[in-house]
Amino acid sequence: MMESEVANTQSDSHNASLISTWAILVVLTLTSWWFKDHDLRPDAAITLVLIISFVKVFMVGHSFMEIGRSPRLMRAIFATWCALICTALVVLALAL
Amino acid sequence: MHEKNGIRPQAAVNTYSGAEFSGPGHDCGRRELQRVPAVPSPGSLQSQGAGTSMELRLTPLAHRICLSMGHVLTFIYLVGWLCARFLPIPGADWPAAKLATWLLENKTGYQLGCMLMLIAGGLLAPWGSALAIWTRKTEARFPVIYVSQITSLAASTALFVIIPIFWALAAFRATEIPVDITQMLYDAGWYLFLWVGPPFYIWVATLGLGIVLNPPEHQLFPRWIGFYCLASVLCWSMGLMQVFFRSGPTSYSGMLPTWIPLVEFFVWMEILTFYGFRAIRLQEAQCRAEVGEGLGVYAPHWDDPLVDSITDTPRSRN
Amino acid sequence: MATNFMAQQRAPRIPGEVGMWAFIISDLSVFSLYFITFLFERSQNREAFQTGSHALHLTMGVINTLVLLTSSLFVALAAQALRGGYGSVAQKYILAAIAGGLTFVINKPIEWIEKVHAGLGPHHDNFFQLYFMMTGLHLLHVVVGMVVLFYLWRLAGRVKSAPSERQLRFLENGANYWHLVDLIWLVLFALFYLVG
Repeated sequence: MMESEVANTQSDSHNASLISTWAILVVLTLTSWWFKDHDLRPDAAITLVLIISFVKVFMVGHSFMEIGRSPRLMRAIFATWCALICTALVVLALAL
Repeated sequence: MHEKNGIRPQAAVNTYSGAEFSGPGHDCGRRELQRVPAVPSPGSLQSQGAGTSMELRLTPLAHRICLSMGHVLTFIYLVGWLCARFLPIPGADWPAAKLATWLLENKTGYQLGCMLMLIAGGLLAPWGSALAIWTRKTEARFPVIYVSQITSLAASTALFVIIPIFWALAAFRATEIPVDITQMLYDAGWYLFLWVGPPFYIWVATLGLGIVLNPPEHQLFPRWIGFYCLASVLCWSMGLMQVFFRSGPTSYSGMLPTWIPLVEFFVWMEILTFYGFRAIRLQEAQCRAEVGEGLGVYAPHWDDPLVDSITDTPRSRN
Repeated sequence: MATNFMAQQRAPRIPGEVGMWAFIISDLSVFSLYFITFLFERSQNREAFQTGSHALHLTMGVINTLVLLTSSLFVALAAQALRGGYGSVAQKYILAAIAGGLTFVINKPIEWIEKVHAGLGPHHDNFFQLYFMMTGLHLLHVVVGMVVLFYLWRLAGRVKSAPSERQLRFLENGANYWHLVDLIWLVLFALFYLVG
């Protein structure tokens, strides 16, 4: 009985973290929407939009796909991929 | 019946698993025919000559030769691609006259390139077979996935060699015949290149499913190879979309149908070849550990004595 | 069972199986190349991409993003419930996730048809060619995902107490596939609707 209660609280806290991740994702989505509507300097807006969306990608991977709980190598691969592709896209969007 | 004729009972019981099977009643009363016990008895190979009428040993050299065709194919095909100067690819939006002139100016290299791609295409069969055989191993009795794979592989090979034939034909009489005929042949080459996909998809998807769905006990590939094959099919399937566009990134000279799948295909081929060699090593180690008549590995050493080919004849009764 | 469950929560482990991650990594790599293609084509004709992006229905894009994010959350919650052995709770979550997926599957063609009627079909320019092709391939992923979710729902119906290892593997593979679909959309949304 005790054990299963502990397990339940574990599960509850995990659920809470999933829901707060989702809330942040929603806020970030709405923020990037705001950028589009309020014409900032285009370069700055594009950079911010891309960085925000890759932060979102990282959060989905880290929390929903549970990469955060996986072995270090996998976390490293995922974080590197996010950083690399985000940088590549920002460079492509601004430089070319 | 058999027992009465003095044939060992276990032979009759084990006929299905033996390499030599004749249906019951087939040799009823024919005492000349020696039936071989399907359960190998140690030492009988030496005392009686070959005990079964079918080779059961693994021949690693043959496997390695077939599999190494993956490297050869990749190399020859990509050299051919460069010789043909598909870099960048003359697009579907080129006027026919421009295309005909391009083909003429570049004719020798282009045709040599087509020939190399043609030769590379033929190598698909031995390479694909060297992989397919391991999915047969995991579903040996009713190998539906294996058979789908082999039939699709055969179709894929046949289609793979047809592609450069049309490309080469386009250059054959370029500028001597109406340019739109030249363009049509060139287009036909690209239609084949991107639209013969489905047998390839089925071949690779069944290879992947053979790894993922078949029982895990005798697999030689890691499971992720199976999933990787499935994802590769998804990547190549974009080739079909070229039909809708004559310019831009989805036309046949673009990234989505041609360049990304082309690069992915050869990366996939190299990775599969690497793991194919690993599979042969694993199977070799397993076969070396086997004990029993006719089993093991056939890998002659230079110091081994020569053995003449022995014609398999029915042995005389004892 | 509970201690098992907790140990599983704490020790680093690969969710699902390695094989599914090979699928996810190759799919992501291919889409990464698509993203690069998009920005390369954009550099060739910035104006067309800007007008194209402005022509897209931004509110619809935001709604679709929120729908997929929420659907992903429901699948994550379902996975958590199922691990705890609450199959019927998980089933409800999965139904909610399926509803999200259905909304997306219905929304997308409406958006497409609207664009085609406005003369902005896939042949209009390279922006719309890529828009239709890339969101099309993504929609194919969503449709496959719906099938996967249906099987997850069936699986959840069978789970009465702790799920077996095999059930857990299928659950995590399927859930991760659905998150992958969500993840790809996040970048597609940014590229087509916001960067443009």
